[in-house]
Amino acid sequence: MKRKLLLYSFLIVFFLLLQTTLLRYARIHGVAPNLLISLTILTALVRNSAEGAAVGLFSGLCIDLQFGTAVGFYALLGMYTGIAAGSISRKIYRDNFLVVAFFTFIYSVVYESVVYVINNIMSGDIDFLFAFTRVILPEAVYNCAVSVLLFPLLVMAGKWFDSAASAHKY
Amino acid sequence: MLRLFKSKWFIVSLATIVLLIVIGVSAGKSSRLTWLRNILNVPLKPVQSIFTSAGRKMEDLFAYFQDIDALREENEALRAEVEELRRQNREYAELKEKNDELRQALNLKSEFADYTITGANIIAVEPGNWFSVFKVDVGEQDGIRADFPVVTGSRGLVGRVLYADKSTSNIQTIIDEESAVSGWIAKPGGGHAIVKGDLQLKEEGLCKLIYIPIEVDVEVGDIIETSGVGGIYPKGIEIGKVIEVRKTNSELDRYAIIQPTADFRRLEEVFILKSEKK
Repeated sequence: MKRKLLLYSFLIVFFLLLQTTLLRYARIHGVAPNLLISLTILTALVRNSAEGAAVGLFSGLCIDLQFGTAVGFYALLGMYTGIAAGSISRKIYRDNFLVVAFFTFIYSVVYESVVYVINNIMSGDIDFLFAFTRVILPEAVYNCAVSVLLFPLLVMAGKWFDSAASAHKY
Repeated sequence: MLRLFKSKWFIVSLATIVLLIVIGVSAGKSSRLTWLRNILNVPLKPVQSIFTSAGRKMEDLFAYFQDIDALREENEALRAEVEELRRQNREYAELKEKNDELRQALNLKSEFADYTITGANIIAVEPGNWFSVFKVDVGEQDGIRADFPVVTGSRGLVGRVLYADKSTSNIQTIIDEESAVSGWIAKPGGGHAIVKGDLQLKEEGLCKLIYIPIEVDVEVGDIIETSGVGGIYPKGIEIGKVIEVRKTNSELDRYAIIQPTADFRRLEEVFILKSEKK
């Protein structure tokens, strides 16, 4: 439990810092990957929905506190993304990074679509096709690439957690 | 009972309810949750400053090698422009003198006389690809409040302070989709219109001019200024220049594309106009 707390907090804070500062210089056609949501989805897929939901909740909360106008929106969305991504985690072959990358893509598309629709539904000024082709799709591809890099890290983290758990048990 | 508390769905529902309440409490302009934001924002500020300036230096280094050729050409062009500007400057000095005399005669105040100006560095940008909100390194302790206008060094409008925390504040730019500024088409026979951010144009650092009065003849090259209506921005800050007028089905429905005076892709330092009245 301590190990999980330590590693996840470190990753969330580190990714938040990267996302808000250096990633601004790594944009391709104005689009940057979303590290925190990639982490949430990947945690949920490789580990389970409980860990995914917790990571989603706290990384969302960090975004809310730094930039949100209403604190809790991204936290809520992050938590549900974690639960949703985790719910299929047992049904897929999660040792294969291609499978994981594919589902990261799918969930990124869903997550960003929800963010776009909720934020624009009140203004009545929705141009979903443009948003989808120019922002959502490229970002999902970018997240997909990030997930391939994150995948071995989370698999190793999982082994590290489990070794602590089994040592505790016996 | 204990089983209920340990059940996953119970925890999820509880978290949902708590978060919904927090959203309700924190939405809107109230600053009841500022202390909560400060927990994260105050310790992260120095780290974000360092990260951003490191990124900038790296970008500068790459740009240095790419830019040499471009700079040579630009130098030529600039030399020519300097000559032209020198000439214009002489004319301008004469006009200014005349203007000052007339101004004194009319006893007019300078537009920004009610404001003091604070410089600020950009330290972080909003994650995600939707909005254009950024964070600067001055906050409540420097006298910054929500809705203060933000301009560039050359006095082009950047946007406004969305909210101020203890030592940082968030700035909403005029190219953000949620931003709408009352503008004035600055020419004889000009009129009021709204400058609005747009998702499609944001990427190129542009915004839209909508609700153009039917009797106003908007042309490419027209300067748009703040109108002073609405109470956030003082009158007469330059917003940008019209670069295209698009007609839709009817004359009533036309809009113009504006190139803001502030270059949002190269923004590093901004100036906040502090109002003494508030």
